[in-house]
Amino acid sequence: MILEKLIIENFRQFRGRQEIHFSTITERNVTLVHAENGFGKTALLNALLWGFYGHEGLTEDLPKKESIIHEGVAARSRNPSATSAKVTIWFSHDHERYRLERELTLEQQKLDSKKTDFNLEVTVDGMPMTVSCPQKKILTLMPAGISEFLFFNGEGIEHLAREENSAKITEAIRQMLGLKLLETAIEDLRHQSVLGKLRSELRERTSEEKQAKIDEQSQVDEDIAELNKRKETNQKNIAATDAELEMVNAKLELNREAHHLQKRRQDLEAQQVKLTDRLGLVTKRLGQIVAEDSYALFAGDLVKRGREIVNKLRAEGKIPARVLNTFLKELLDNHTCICKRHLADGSPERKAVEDLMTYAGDQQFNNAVGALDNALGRIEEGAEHTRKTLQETNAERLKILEDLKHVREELADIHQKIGGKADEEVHKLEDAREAHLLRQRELVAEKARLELRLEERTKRREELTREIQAILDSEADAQRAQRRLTAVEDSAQLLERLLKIETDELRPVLNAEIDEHFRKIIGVGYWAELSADFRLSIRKRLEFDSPEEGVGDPLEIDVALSQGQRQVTSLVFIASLVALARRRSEIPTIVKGLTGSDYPMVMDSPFGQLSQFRPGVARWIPQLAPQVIIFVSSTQYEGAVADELKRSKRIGKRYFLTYHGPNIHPDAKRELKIGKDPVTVYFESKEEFTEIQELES
Amino acid sequence: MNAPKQAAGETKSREEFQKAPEEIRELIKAVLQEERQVMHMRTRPDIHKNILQHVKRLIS
Repeated sequence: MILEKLIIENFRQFRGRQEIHFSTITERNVTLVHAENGFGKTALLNALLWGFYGHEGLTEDLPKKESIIHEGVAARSRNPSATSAKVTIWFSHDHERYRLERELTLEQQKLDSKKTDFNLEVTVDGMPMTVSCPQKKILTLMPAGISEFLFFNGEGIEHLAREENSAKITEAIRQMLGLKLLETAIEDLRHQSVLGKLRSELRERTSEEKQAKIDEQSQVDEDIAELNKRKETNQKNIAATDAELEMVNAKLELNREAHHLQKRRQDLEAQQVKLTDRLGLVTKRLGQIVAEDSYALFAGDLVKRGREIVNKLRAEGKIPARVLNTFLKELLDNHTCICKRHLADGSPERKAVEDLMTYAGDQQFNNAVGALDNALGRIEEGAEHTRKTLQETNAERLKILEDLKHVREELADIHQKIGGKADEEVHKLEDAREAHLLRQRELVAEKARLELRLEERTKRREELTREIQAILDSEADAQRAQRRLTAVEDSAQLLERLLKIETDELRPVLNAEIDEHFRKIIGVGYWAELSADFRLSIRKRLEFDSPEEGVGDPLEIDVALSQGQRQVTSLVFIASLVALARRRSEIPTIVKGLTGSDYPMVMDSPFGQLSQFRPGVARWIPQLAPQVIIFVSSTQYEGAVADELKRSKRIGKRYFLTYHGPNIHPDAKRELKIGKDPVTVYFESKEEFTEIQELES
Repeated sequence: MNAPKQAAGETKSREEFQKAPEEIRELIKAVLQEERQVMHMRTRPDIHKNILQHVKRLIS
C-alpha cells in the first residue's frame, strides 16, 4: 500500500477542507509534516486511522473519541444532517488504485459516532469498481493487527520491546505469516455453529422474508431515479476537468525540462487508450467464442459415438438404402417380380420380396443419411476451428496485457523522472497534473460507480421479482449431514498438522529478517532472536577478559534495554514486518494469497527518545520501507535528523501545520525556519483550528 | 538473508495437504478463503454460516 493523497474535512481540529499529497517517488519516499506540539500531529495520524478503520482505528490516547466533527463547525451548524466530517484517502496496493471515503454527519454523531458512511472503490484496468464489503476489503489489504505497527505514535512505541507485550508482537507476526489464519480456521470448523448446525434441519424460510423483499423492491425504484439525476451532474464535471488537464499537459510540453518526457507520456497514454480498447474488444470476442462455439469442444465423444453408429449401420448395409421401398411396393402391387416370377399371396417368392421392405428406404431417408454425415463432419471441423480460434484470441489478449504492462511501467517511470526534476515549475505542473488526474479519476470513477450502481439496482429489481416468486422451503438430509460432520472434523485435524509444519519452516526466515535490520541500526554486539513461540528478544554474547573466567561454551544472554534501545528495537521490528511484507510471496507457505505488498510507515514523533540512534533511524528506516511519512516537531527534527534526511535527499514532500487558537503549547514555536524563509505557524484566534500548508521546496 | 530456495509447491505442508482426499482439500481451500476475508475483524457474524455453506456445497 502506498498512500497518494489525503483530504480532511472538519475532522477534529482541522477546520474546512485540508489536503496532503504524499510523495510517491521511490527515491524521495519521505513525506515530512512539521508540526509543533499541540498543533495537530496526533489528529492527523488519527485522520488516516479513522479513514481506514473508523472509530475502531482511533489511537488510545485520543481524548473525546466520540467528537469527530470540528467543535466550532458543529456548534454553528443549523442543519445537522448536512454538517459532517469527512476523510478521503487515495492509495495504491499491489498495482491496484483505491479511493476510500468515510463520512460522519453531525446528526449521526449525536446518535452514535461509531456508525459512519464508508465507501471504497478500486480501479481495475482503468475501470473503477465499488467494493461491495469495503471494511472487509480494507482489513484484508491492511489488517488491523498490522496497522497499529504502520501508523503509530513514536513516543509510545517503545512498549513493543517490553517482555510483557511480546504477545502483541506474536499476534502481529502470526497474522503477517498467515499462521493466524490456520488457527482461526481450525477453531471455526470446530465451532458449535458449524458442527451443531450440521445436525439440524435447514431453517425454514418465512413469509416475512417475502415481505422484506417487496419493501426492498420499492426502495430500489427510488434509488434508480436518484442515480439518474446524479449521473447528469457528473457528466458536466468530467468535461470541465478534462479541459483543465489538457491545459497542464500543454504547459508541460512547452517546458524545456519536461518536453521530451511529456511528449513520450502523451504517446504512451494514447497507446494505453488504444490497448485498453482492444483489450475490451478481444475479451468480448473471447467471451463470444466461449458462449457460442465452445460446445463443439465438448461434443467430441458424442460425435465419435455417432460416427461409430453410422459406420456400423453402413457396414451392415442398412444405410444408405440400396433398394427403394417405392420400387418394391410396385412389384408387390403388380404381383410380378423383376425376374418375371409371379408373386402370389402367401408364396415364398412374395415373402422374400416383402422381407426386403425392412431394409429398403425412400429417397428422403437417403437424403437424411447424407445430412447426418455432413453434420458430423461439420461438428468435427468446428471443434478444431474453435480450438484454434480460442488459442489465437487468448494469445492476442495476453500480448495486449503484456504491452499494457510495459506502457504502464514506462508511464510510472516518466512520472518518477518528471517528479524528480529539480525545476520548480516542472514540479508544480507535475503536482497540478497529478491533482487533475486524481480529480479526473475520481469523476470517471464516480461515473462508473453510478453506472454500475444503476446496473446493479436494475438487476436487483429483476432478481427481487424472481426471488419473491421462488422462495421455497428446504430441508437437510440426515445422511449427508453425517458425511459433512466427518469431513469437517477431518479438515480440522489436517489443518492442525499443517500449522505445525508451517510454524517450524517459517520461523527461521523471519528471525533472519529481524536480525538483519536490527544490526544495521543498532550496530554490532547485539542481535535479535525470535524464539520458537515467536517472542522477540535482544541477545548479546558475554565476553571474558581472561580464559579462566570463561568455562565451556560462550555465554549468550538477553539484554536489558534502555528506553532508547527499546524504541529502536520497536522500530526495527516494525521495519522488519514492512520488509517482510514486501517479500512475503517468496516465503513458501500453504496459505495462498499472501502475496508481497508494500506498506507505508506513518510515524508521529518517532525520534523522541532515540538519543544517539536518531541518525541511524533517519538513515535506515526510509531505505527499508517503501514510503515513510513523518510528523515531527522542530525540537525532534533540528540537528541530526534534519542533517541525515537532507543528506539522503529522500524528502519528497514537505508540509507544516499552522495552528490558530487562544493559547500555544509552552514548547511550541510561533515561527519555524524549515524552508527558504521562516514561516509563521501560530496565529492567535478565539476559535481553535489547524490548517495544512505545503512547504515550497 | 534470503528465503529458502524452495518453491511453494515443494513445502512439507503442501505434501501433507496433497495426501488428503480431494473433498477435504476443497473444503479447506474454501474455508481458508473465507477466513482470509474476515480474519482481522473483531466480529465475524457470517463466518460460521459461510463455512456451513461451503460444507453443504462441497459435500452434497
